[in-house]
Amino acid sequence: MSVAVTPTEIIIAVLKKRSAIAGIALILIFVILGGLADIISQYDPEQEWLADAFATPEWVAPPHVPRNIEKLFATFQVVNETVDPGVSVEYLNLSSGIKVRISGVGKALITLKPTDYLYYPYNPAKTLALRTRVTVQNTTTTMPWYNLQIFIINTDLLSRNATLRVRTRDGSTLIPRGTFLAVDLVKERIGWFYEYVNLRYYPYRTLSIVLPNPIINRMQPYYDPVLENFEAINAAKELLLESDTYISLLVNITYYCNPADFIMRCSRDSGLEIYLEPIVVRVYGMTFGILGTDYLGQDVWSQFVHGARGAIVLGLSVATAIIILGFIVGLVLGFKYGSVIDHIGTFISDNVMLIPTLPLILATGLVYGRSLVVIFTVLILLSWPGTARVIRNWTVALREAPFVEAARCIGAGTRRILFRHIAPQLIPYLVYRIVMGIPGVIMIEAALQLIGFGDPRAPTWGRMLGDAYRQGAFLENAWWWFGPPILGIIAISLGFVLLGIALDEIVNPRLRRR
Amino acid sequence: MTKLGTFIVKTSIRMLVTYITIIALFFVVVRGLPILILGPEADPVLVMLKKGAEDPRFGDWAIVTARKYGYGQPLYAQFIVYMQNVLRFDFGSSFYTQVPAIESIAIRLPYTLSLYTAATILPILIGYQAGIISAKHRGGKIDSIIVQLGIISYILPAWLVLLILYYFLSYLPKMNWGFYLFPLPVRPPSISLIANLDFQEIIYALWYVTPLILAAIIAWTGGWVYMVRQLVVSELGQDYVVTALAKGLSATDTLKKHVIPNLKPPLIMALAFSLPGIFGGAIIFEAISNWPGIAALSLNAFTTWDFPLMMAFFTISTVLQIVSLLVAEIIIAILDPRVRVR
Repeated sequence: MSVAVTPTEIIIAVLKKRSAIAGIALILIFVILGGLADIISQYDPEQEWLADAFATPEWVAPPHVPRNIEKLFATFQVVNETVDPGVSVEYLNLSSGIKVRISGVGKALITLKPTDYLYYPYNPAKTLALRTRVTVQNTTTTMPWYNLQIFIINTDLLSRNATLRVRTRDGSTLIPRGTFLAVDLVKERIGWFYEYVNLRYYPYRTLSIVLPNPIINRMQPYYDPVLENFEAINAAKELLLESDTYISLLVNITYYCNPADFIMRCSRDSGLEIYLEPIVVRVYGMTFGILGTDYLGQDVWSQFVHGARGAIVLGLSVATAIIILGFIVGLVLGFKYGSVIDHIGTFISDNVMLIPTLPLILATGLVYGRSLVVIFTVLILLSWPGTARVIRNWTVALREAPFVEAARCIGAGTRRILFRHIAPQLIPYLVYRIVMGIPGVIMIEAALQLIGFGDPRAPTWGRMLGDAYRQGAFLENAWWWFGPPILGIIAISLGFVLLGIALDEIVNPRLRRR
Repeated sequence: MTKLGTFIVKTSIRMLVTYITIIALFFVVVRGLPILILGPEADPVLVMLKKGAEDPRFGDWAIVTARKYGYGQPLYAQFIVYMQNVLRFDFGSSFYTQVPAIESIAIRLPYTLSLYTAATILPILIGYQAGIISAKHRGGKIDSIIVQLGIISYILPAWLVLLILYYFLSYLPKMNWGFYLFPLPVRPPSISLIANLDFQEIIYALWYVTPLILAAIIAWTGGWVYMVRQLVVSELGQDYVVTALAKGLSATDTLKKHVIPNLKPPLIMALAFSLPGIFGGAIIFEAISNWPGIAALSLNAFTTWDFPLMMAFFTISTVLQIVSLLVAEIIIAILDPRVRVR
């Protein structure tokens, strides 16, 4: 019954089999991919909006499909300046951006325009984003009213009045839903700035308004009653009607200070400093990288190679843990065959085998958090009995073997006999069990992800596939997103199973006999 | 037959003990440990009940439920109440729908059971035939084709096959050309199929379940093929086969009369041990395809901490597994008299 095959013999025997070599090659491919994941993938797998959502891979895209374009507008010129006599306006060109200082009583309307423009050579894109930072600072404790708007315009379409105007009341809650590009800070001021000014807790407070970064415009079949008063136009759809157009910006600043208005609390000496940092306009490409992007514009290729690492590391460690736990239990039970410990252990292992694994994993995930640690701890604690049973039976047979008797005769203790004499006999079989167990671990992780009970931050193929299934990759026909994890799971399982079958024929005495 | 009778009784008692142990374990893991570690206020069920009690429309319902199920009492008292309720299959009403959990499970159980049975039996029937054919033509072309297909099938998990089937036969044609071979997993068949006996709806349900069964056949046949083939091949090397052939029995008769009866006990044992996996696969199937079985309902219950439904689902899955294993062991005992003596 003993498996008297040395490791070198096993390796030589495995290398003689073509299927085993194919399996090893498949595994090696993914080991290399996973090991070099940081080098061969340019982007962080978690980084969002690298391109538009559901961007196709670059190698299937025709030449005129939109690609990422980014333009930084740093220098501005004054296009229009309508200022009351009581108001003084100063422009300061700083190293990064422009500072406008307005003070005095009356009205001012200033329009700025960048000196540059953005040339757009591709077919119409779907998504356009604007990213900047505006800081508004009042020079005294009182504060005038102001309104700052940033428009994106298509210079070719100006005559058709296609300028975009979008106003949001609360940048943080409204902009991400929809669409748009300009900010109306007046409304925000009523709710937010005015409060501070009135309470006089924070004199000379600097208020910094950071636009959501980036502001994305995607048309979505979504209805929000707050959006009703909105001039909501899909910016990209309005602006990028054809290829070869020019994109530019307009910045409108409105200033109004009336000391007679008691609600306004504006005094004769009050003023504003508006600091406008360079504005980045970005057109999101609809084709990107080696494997395109997912629903958040994340790079699929880097997710895939990091998933290869996750599959191998997780699969190997969890399968090893399961098998080693089962091995130790089986060894002890087998050596104590017939004793009370054996009866109790066998009873426990029979019971554990009957616990419905999946429902228990779901329940524990909800109680203790859906992390990989919890999921795999439960999995390890529930999966060892299969190995334990086999190892127990083998140990029982080996216990009576002559070499064990000889060892006992020369005075070896139980532990020494178990781990020095019996365990090495079983190691080839353990390797076989581990190799065959890895696909199962990968599959269970993926299955849990697919039904929405996996670790939402796990860097695995399962998470890719689960996200893809639930975020509509099948409806969008985004094969570059759900295809790689499916193929990866199948290929790596094939590799391990081919290797495992080859090992089975060498290691398993039942088959070797033939 | 008395020996068989005692065996059945013994096994049943063992399974009953197992059942009680598993149910107790569920309580310990899901409710006992959080309460022991974080204190009685951390009991998720209690939190949920308190949330419900804030709504005046529920009135004294929360208090009544809490008293009935013993939530808020000391842990050991809760445990006793819990065990009493579970052993009587009285799980209480869902916190949200107010329908008794056992009713909502019972109405969906036929769907799960039919899927589970078909997904268990069809692969083993096909795999058995293919394995015997493969072993008969051992070393030939048919054998190598069957073995290779078997390995591929063994690797593929059923839900992955289902996803691939859905993509190529439903989503892709539907999105590109406007037709589909199998319905998209969007509108599941109605739950009251058996009560209403709507012919069209039954046809739709059969059509809806076809990809699931197909995926089960594709994914779970391979393991059986491999196993049956190995068993037959190792049996063919035994002495009694040589004897049978030597005394002039034809190869087919040897296979039918001598080899196949010896295959049954190990096969049924393997089936018994594969049942938990098949059941887990059926759960994922239902979740992916919106098949109106117990899984979709229960996954929802899990996410909303609907403890009665969670409990009912866990209990029912345990019962299903234990009963299938019990049936398998009894069948083995009938087929193989050696087992009874053990």
